[in-house]
Amino acid sequence: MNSVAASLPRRRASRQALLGALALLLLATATWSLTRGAMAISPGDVAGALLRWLTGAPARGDDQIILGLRLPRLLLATMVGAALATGGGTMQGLFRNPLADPGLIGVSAGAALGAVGAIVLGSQSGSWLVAAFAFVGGLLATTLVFLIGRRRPGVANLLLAGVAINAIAMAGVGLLTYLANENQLRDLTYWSLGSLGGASWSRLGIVAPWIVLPLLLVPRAAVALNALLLGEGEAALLGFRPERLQPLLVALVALSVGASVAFTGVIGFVGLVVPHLLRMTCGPDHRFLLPASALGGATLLVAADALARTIVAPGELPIGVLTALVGGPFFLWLLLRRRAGEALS
Amino acid sequence: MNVRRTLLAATVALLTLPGVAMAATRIVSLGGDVTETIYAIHAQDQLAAVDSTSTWPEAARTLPDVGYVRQLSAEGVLALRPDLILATHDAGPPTAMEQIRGAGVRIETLPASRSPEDIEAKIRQIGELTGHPKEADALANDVAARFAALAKSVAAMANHPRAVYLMSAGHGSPMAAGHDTAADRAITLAGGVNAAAEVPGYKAVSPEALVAMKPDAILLMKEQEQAVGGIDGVLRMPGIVDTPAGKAKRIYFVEGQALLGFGPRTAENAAALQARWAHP
Repeated sequence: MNSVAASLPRRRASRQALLGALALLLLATATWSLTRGAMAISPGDVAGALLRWLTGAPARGDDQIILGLRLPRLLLATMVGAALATGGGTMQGLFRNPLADPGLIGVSAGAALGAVGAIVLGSQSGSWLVAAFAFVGGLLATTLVFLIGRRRPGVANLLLAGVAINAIAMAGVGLLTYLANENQLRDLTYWSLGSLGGASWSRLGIVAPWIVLPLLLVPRAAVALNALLLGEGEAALLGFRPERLQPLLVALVALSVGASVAFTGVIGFVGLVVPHLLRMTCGPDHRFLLPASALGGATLLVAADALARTIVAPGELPIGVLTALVGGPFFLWLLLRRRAGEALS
Repeated sequence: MNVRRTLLAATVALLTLPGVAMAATRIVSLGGDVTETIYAIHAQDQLAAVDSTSTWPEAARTLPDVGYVRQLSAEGVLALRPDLILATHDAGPPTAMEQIRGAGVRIETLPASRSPEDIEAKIRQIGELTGHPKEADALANDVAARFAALAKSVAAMANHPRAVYLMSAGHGSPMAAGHDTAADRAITLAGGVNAAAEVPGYKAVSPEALVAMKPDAILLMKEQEQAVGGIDGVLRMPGIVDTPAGKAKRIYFVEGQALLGFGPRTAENAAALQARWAHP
């Protein structure tokens, strides 16, 4: 962890320049994504639609496609990407483990159990029911992990409780999969691959606060997470209280990731790799890492979603497939070009 | 000159309007049974796209494919600028259907069909919606006649074979079709008794359970015939040889979608199956 000492005094100016660059990249990707889709709509028409929307002018032609389908979808991708990557960065800091991701605290497996339960046992696989069950399932599993994990001090116990609850939840998913009929099987398979296709303004209104508010609060723990990199005892000596940091961060991540997963299904890879990538290139200072992860995760998911809906148009690929397919090789390349002997984090 | 030509064209258009105005000209068909019916009543010129379960006839595969019927993308469907969407009952997800409807496109959802009457009603409904009521009527009557003849043959059967339909055989335990499956209805229609009727839906069954079911006939998908190595391959699967079906080598490969799609081809495929196991 020598790099911590080296990177902490990194000049504020260069860090802000990097964040600015990432924000610009997100903006560019978002603009590009709005012009992409199964329907061929020229950039001019996209700009026109946005302009008419902003000025309240009557809609024309394909405005409905841009404003009713692509725009809410773009915003959902931005929020979910930011939530997954920031959640990953937070967990990696909290567990002091570069392999941690939000799934470790049970939120994804719990959400999967809730969603699959709603799909298999629900009379009609109404999508609201699935989202509600997934959200509640994710929060319940995380609460269980936390209550069991905190019975002994230290972060390792939390991690082990997470492993156990994950296994139990996935066994539940397996049992429900066995009970499912053919159509339900298809539904739950697609749920577990993720999709942003369900985005609409009304759903966005419901999911946004659950994702955005925790996301705004998480970076306030950045300095404490930096201290935690030195070790729990050392952080306590520096005046931080790891035992208070833990429940707060776990709750915030569970809320934002739980809400994301509830509405989009499981989208793997983003939470693990985006913070990792940024740490490898810019160092482990969480004051930079957390906001950068939010921007990077949003960019990756927006780009992946644009590809998901164009590659096999008029069909659509599950987005979880693309995040791993696009992100995986890039990540490997980055790993391989690093010189031997460098630390992983 | 131009004015007159325009007027003439408008008059011609007006005169022909009552005949064609109701018929949609850019139809997206969602569901293999719907697509089969559209082709069978010769309304395929109106088709703009199909879903990935529309595999018959071969020509349907040359049309744009909007993806799996339960996992559609709203923009993908809208991009084809359909004026009518004919959807099988379980097309979805619901949000995509809402989005398509929200964009002002007419969606007609056909009711689930699991009986001869349902199939006839479905054919007639598709005929009305595509503007081919006469062809649909003829097809529905033909299908009804086939089912009536089949019912007669079934009534004349001395005994009704216990049959089990195995799906995805060859990878681990085969999946047997229990009650509430299309295969269950097809077996009954063809005069058989579903030997796996106790389990709900498609369930993996152990060799031992398969033996306990005592099937007189085993059905598999023709599409899998090569993969499982034909009848000999099936006989080598654990447990099969200890069933009455295995001993008598009464193993039948049936066309999966034709028989189980509950579209216009189900009647003749069920009749063919009945004929085969009535006179083995």
